[in-house]
Amino acid sequence: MVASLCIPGLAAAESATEKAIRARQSSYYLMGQQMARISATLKGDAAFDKAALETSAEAVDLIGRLVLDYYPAGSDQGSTKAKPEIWKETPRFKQMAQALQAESAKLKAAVHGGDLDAIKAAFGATSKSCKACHDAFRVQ
Amino acid sequence: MDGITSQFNSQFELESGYAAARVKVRRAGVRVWDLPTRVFHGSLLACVSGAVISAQLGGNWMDWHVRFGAATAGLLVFRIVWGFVGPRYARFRSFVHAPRTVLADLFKRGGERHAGHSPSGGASVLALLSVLTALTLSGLLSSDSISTDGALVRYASESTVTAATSLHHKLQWVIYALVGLHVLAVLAYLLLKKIDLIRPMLHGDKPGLRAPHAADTLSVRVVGLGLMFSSVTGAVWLLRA
Repeated sequence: MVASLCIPGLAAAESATEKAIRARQSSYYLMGQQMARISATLKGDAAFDKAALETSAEAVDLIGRLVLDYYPAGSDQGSTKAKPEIWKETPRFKQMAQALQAESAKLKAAVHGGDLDAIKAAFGATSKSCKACHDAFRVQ
Repeated sequence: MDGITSQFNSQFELESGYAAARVKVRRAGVRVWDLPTRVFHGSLLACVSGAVISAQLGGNWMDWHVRFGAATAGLLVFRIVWGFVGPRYARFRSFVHAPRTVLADLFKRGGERHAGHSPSGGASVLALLSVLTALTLSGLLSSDSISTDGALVRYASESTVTAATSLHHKLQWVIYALVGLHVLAVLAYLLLKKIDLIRPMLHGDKPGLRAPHAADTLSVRVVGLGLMFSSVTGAVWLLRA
C-alpha cells in the first residue's frame, strides 16, 4: 500500500472510468476537427478536395458509432461534461445517437455524390443532431 | 390628451388642413427619440430576435447566429457612442441615475411624466445594454463544440472558451427576463397608466409634455445613421465565423 503510493506510475494509474472519459473526449475532439474541415470547405475557406472531404465524412460517421462504447455506468463522475441523465434516460440517449448515425450516413453519401448544396444540407442536419444531444445531455 | 396638445392639433387642422399633416405630426408633442435612436431600437430587436431564433434552429443557421450577434455588437458600439454624443434624451447623462433615485421612482405612486426615460426606465435600458454587451463579448469566445466558433476562440485557451460558452448560455436567460420585464413595463404603462410609450418609439414624439425637443435634424440623422451603418457592417465583416 505504502509502496504503491511511492511509485508515481502506480499512484497515477488510470481507472477504467477515466479511460472511458478520455476515449470519448478524444473521439469528440477528432470528430469536431473533421466537422471543422468540412465546414471550412462549405464556407469557402478551404479548397474543395473531394477525397479529403470523404475521409472527414467517413471519420465523423465512424466516430459517431465507436464513441458509444465509452459510456460505462458511473462515467458521469470525473472530469466530464456528460450529464447523469445519459444513464438515467438511456433509451433517449441511444435514440439521439442513432439520429446522429442516420444523418452522418447521409453526409457521407452526399460527400461521395460531390454536390456542394447537398453536402451543405446534410452537414447542417448532422450539426443539428449534435446540438440536440448537447442540449439534452451535455453540461453547457 | 391634455389641453396643450388638443389646442395645437385643432389650431393646425384649422390653419393648414391635410397638406401640413407631417407638420401636425411633428407638433403633436415633444420630439424625444431622434431617428437614429429609433432605428437602433428596431434594429436591435430584429438582430437579437434573429440571434435567438437562429441559435435555437442550430445546424447551418449558426452562420446567421454569428452574423446577428456581430450586428448586435455593432449596434451596441453605436448606442454607447450615441449615449455620449447623441441628442439630449439619448444621452446616458439624461437617464442614468443613482440607485436610490431609481428605487424611489419604482415605488412612487402617481404619474409623473418624463420626456426621455424615467429613472427606472433608464436603469432598464442600462441593464439591457450591459447584458447584451456581455452576451456579445462572451459569444466571441464561445464554441458550440460542433462547427461554430466565435471570432476570438482561436486566440483563447480551452478553459476560457468553456467558461465563456457557459456564461453565453446562462446569460440568454437573463436577457429573456430583462426583455420580458421591459415589455411588461411598457404594457403596464399603456393599460394601467394610459401612457403610450410604444408610438413615441416609432414616430419619435411624446404628446402632452412641456420639454425641449431632442435634436433630430438632417445632420443628426446622417451622422447617426452613418455611424450605425458603419459600426454594424464593420462588426459583421470583422467578426465573421
